[in-house]
Amino acid sequence: MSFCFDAIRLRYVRGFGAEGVALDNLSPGLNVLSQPNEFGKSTILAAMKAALFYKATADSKVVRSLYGFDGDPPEIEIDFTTDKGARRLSKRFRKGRGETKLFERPSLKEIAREADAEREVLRLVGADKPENGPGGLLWVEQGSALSDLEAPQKAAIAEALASEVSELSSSEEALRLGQTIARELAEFETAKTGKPTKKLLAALTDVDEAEAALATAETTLTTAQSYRDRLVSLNAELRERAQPGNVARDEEELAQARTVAQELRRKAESLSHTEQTVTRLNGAKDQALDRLERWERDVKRLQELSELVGMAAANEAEMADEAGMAKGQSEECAAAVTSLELHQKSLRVSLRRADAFERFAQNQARQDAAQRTLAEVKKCMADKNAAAAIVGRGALNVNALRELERDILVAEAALDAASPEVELVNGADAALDGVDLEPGQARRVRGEAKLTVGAAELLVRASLPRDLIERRDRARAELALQLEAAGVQSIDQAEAEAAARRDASLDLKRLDEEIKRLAPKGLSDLETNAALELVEPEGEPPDEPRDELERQLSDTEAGLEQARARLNGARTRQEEFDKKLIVSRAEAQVRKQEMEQLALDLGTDEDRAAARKELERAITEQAAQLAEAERAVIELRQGQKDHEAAERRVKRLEEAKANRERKLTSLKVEIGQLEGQLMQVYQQGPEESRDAAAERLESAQARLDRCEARRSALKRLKATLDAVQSERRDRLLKPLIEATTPLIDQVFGVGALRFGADLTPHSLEREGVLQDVDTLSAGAREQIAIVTRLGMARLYAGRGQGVPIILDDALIYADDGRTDRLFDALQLVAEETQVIVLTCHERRFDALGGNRLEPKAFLPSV
Amino acid sequence: MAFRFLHTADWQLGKPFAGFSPDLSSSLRDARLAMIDRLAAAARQEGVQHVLVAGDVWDQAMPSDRVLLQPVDRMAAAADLEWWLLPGNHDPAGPESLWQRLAARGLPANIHALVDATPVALADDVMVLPAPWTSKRPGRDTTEIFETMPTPAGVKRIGLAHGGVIGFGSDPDASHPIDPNRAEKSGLSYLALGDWHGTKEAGPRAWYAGTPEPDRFRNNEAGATLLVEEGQEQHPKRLPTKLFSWEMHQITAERGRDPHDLMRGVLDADWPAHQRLLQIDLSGRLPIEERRKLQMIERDLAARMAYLDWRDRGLEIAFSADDTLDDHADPVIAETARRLACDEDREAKAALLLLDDLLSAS
Repeated sequence: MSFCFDAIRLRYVRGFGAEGVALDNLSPGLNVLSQPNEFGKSTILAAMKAALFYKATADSKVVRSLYGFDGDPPEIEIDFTTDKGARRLSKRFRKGRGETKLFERPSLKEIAREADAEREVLRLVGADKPENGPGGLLWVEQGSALSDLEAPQKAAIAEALASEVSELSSSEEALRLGQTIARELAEFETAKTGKPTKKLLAALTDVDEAEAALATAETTLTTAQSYRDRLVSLNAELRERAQPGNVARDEEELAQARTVAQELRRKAESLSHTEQTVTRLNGAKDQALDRLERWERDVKRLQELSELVGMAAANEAEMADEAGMAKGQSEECAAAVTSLELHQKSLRVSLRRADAFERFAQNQARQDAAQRTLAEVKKCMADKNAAAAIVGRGALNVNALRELERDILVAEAALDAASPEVELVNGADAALDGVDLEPGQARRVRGEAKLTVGAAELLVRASLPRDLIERRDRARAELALQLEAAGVQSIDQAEAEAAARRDASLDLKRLDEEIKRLAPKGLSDLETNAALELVEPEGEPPDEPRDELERQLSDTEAGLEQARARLNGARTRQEEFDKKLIVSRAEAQVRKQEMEQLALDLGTDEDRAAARKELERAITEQAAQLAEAERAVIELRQGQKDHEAAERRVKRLEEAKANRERKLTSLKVEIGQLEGQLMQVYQQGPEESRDAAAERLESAQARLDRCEARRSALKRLKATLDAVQSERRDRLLKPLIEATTPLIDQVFGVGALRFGADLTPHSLEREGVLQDVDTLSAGAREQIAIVTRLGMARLYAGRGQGVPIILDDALIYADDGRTDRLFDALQLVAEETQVIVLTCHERRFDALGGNRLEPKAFLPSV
Repeated sequence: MAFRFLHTADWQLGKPFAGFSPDLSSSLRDARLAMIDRLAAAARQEGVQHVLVAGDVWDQAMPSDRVLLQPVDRMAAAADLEWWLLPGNHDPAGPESLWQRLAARGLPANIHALVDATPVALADDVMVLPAPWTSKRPGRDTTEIFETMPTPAGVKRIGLAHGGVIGFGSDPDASHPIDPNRAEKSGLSYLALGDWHGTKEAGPRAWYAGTPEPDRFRNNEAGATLLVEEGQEQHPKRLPTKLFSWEMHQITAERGRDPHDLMRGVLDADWPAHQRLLQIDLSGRLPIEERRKLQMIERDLAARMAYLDWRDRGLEIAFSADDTLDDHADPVIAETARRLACDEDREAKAALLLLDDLLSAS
C-alpha cells in the first residue's frame, strides 16, 4: 500500500503555541521545508511520528516531550493519501483522555475515532512502531544518516526482499555455522593475514623445537661416535706400541749400544792420560833444551865479557881525555862572559843619565801646562761667582705680575663699561678733554671730563663704581710693590731679568762642568803641579844619543847571552864527560867481576865439555819418549771418533725410548680423557636422545599435519559457505542493488553497492575495485546511507507500496558537487515516491527545486 | 630329563617411545625392562635354567649407563638362571662397544656375553654356538662359521644367531641373509634366531622367538618367548610374555553394516584396555550417519585405551540422496554440503566431514 503526506498541522507542540504551524499542499513528489535553526523542523517530524504511531491517551516519554511549553496538550492533524483514499488524522494528546479521529477527505466525514482510528492508521501506514516497517527505514532524522541500521530496519529490508527469495528466513543457522568456523579457524590462523596462531603456531613451534633437539642430538651422537672411533684408533696404537716384543727389541738394542759406548769411553779416557804424558814429556824436553841453551849462553857470555872488560878500559881512558878538554872550554867561556857583563853595566849607567835629563825636560813642560790650566780654571770660577750672584737675587714670579696686570686691565675694562659715553652726533667743533670729536665718534668719560662745544665748555662728571676702582687700585699697588721687590721698572724688565737668571743658572752648570774638565783632580792638585820645584841633573848628558846607547846595550846583552850559552854548553859537556868517566870505570869493574864469577861457575874447559855431553844425552832421551807417546795419542784419537759415534747412537736410542714412553704416556692420557668424555656421553645416552628426538619430531609433525588438515578443511568449508552465502545474498539483494545502482551512478559515478550478511552496505564497488564502507570519508558514508534508503524507497514504490522518505537536515557532509548530484538523485526518487526534505540551509537547497513548503498558522478544521 | 631352555630375542632395551605421552612413554619403558622379570618367571615356571637371547638385547650401540646397567641388575637378581646374551645388529660387539663397557665393569656370574664365535657349554652334552655381530654390517652370513665350529662328539649343538633369513627379518644386512637350512647344514639341533620381532619358523629347527614385549604396530605374533626342549626342537612352545598389546586393525567399512559390528574385533579383544595400543586403519565407504556412530566409537576408544591411532583418511563417506546433508533445513548449509560432496578432492571431503562434525556438535 502506498502512502503520501498531503498536509501537516500542529499546535501546542513544544515551541509551537496556539497559533501552531501548518504545512499544506505537500506534493506527491519532492517537497522542501527550508527554515532556519530553532524553527521546529525536528518538532514537526516528531509530531508526525507521534500522530501516526502513538496513542492519544499515551503518557510515554516521547509524547510528554511534545507537550507545549505552557503544558498544553499537543494537537496534530495530518492529511495523507493511501490506496484507500485521502484521509485526515486528527489527534489531541492527553493522558487518559486524548482524542483521535480519522476523516475522509475532502468530505471530512469521520470514519473512525479513538482506538479504531489509531488501528486503522497503523494499518494504512503498514507498521506498528515508528522504527518498524518502511517508514522506520525511510525516515532519516538528524544525525541518523550515518548510524548502522537497527534490527527492525534490517528486518524491514529483509521483509521487503523476502518476496524475492523464499528461503530468506532459513539463513540464521548458516550464519551461526560461519561464526563457529571463524572461531575454530582463529585457533589456527589470524583472520586478516592468515598468519599461524594458537594451535597451529604451537604445532609449528613444536616441530621447530623437535627439529632443533634432533639436530642437537645428532651432533652429540656424531661427537660420541668420533670419540669412540678415536678411542679405538688410540687403543690400537697403544697396543701396537706397548707390544712386549717391540719393547724388548728396543731395550736390547739400547743395551748393546751402551756396552759398545762404555768400551769406547774407557779407551777415550786412556787417550786423555796419554795426552797428559805427551804434555809432560814435551815439558821435560823443553826444560832440557832450556838447560842446554842456558849453558851455551853462559859460555858465550864469558867470551863476551872477556872482550867487554878490555873495551871498558879503553873507554875509560878516552873519557878522561874528553873531560879534560871540556873543562878548558868551560873556562874560556867564563872569561868572555865576565868581559861582556862589564860592558853592559857601563852602558846602563849612560842610559840612566840620559833618562834623568829627559825626565827633567818633561817635568818642565808639564808645569807650564798646569800653570795655564790653573789660569783658565780661575777665570771660570770668577764667571761662576758672577752667575751665582745673578741667580741668587731671589725669586721672580712673572706669571703673578702678568696676573696682576690682567686684573688691572679687567678692572679698567669694567670701568670703561661703566663710564658714560659722549658721542658727537653731527656737526663739528666739539672736543672732549681737548680732543676733537668727529661726527659719529663716541668717547668714554671717566671721572671728570671737559667737553668743549663750540665756545662752550662743559664739565662732565661721571660717577663710577667704587668697588671697581678699588679693585683696580689694589692690583696696581700690588704690581708696583712686586716690581720694586724685583728691582725692575716694568713687567717687560721683569721678564728680561727672569731670562737673565735662567741664563746665569745655565752658565753655572756649564762652568762647573768646565772646571771639572780642567781640574778633574781638584784645584789643589793643579796648583801643586803648577808650583812644582824642578831639580836639574848634574853633569852633562851622554855623548851618544839614547837610541845609540840602547842599541849598544842590546847588542852587548845578546852577545852576553850567547857567551853564557856557550859557557853552559861547555860546562854541560864537562859534566857529561865526568859522568861517563865514572860510568866507564864502574862498568869495567862490573864486567870484570861478572867475568870472574862466570869463569868460576863454568869451570875448566874439560868441565865444560862433560857438561855439554850430559845435556845433549838427556835431550835425546826425552825426545824418544815423546815420540812414543805421540804415536799412542794418534792411535787413541782414531778410537775417539768411534766412541763419539757410539755415544751418539746411545743417545739416539735413549731419546727414542723416551719418545716412546712419552708417546705411550700421551696416548694413555688421551685415552683416559676420551674415556672420561665417553663416560659422560654414555651417561646421557646419545642414541636414546637422538631416537627420542626423532620420535618427538615425528609426533610433532603428525600433530602439525593434523592441524594443517583441520585448518585446510576449515578454510575450504568457510570458503564454500561464504560463496554460497554471497551468491544467496546477491540474489536476495538484487532488487535493492538494482534500485540503488542508478542512484550510486548519479552520486558517485559508475558503481554499485555490495551488501553484507547483515544486509547493510559494506562496500562500494567502483571500476572493479571494492572499497570498504568503513574506510570511506564521513561524507561518502552519509551519502551511501541516504542512497540506500532512497533505493529502498524506490523498491517500495516499484511494488506499489510507496512511502514518503523524509530527510531531516541530512547531507550535512556533502560538498557542493556531491550535493548537486544528490539533488538529482532525490529528483529521480521523487518521480516515484514522495520525498520531504527538511533543511536549515535555504540557499544551498535552492538548487534542489521541488515544492517549497511555506509554514502557515494552524486553523483546526475540526 | 631332556635339556630345555628359553629362546628369546630383540629386547631392544632403551627404546624411548618419545612419540607417546610422557605417562605412556614411561609405562612402555618400564614394561620393556620388566619383561626380564616375566621371562625369569616363565623360565622358573617351566623349570628352565638357561635363557638364550638371540641378539639386540639393547636398542642402541651406545646406551646410557642407566639403560645399560638396569637390565643387568634385573638379570643378576635372577641368580638361579643363566642368561646368554648375543650381540646383534643394534648392539654389535667390537672395540669400545657396550659389551666392553660391561666387561670393564664386570658381569655377574650368571650373565654371559657371547662376544666371540666360540662354542660354550650349557650343559655336559650341550653347547651353544654363538654368531655374534661385531659391526653394524658384517657383510656375511654370520652363521657360516657354524659349519666349521668344532664341538666334541655327541654334544648337542645349539646355534644362536641374529639376522634375516630369506623373506624374513628387519633386513639389517639384506645382502647376506642367514641360510634357513643352517641347522641342517651345520648339524644344529636348533637354531635360535633373533631380528624378526614376531614368533616365526625360519626353517627346519630354526625359529625366530620374536620380542617378548612388542614395540610397534605389526601383526606378527610378537610378545612371547619360545620354550625349546630337546627332541621337540621342531615345535618349540610359545609362551606369552607381553604386558602391552600393540594392535594394528585394518577395517573396511561396508554400507549397511553396523559400525559396532565392524569394530567387533577391536571392541571384544581379551586384554586390559589400559594396556592396549591401537592403530586402526579405516577404509571403505560409509554413509555419513554411520560415520557419526563410528566417531562415537572412536571417542570411546580414545578414552579407554592406552593409545589410539585412528586413521580414517582412507575412509570414504557416501553422500547419497539418503544420507547427505543436502536435505538440511538450512538451505545455505544444504547447498554448502552439496557443493563439497560434488568435489572429489580430499580437502573437500575433509571439509564435508568437518561440516558434519560441527553440525553434530551444535
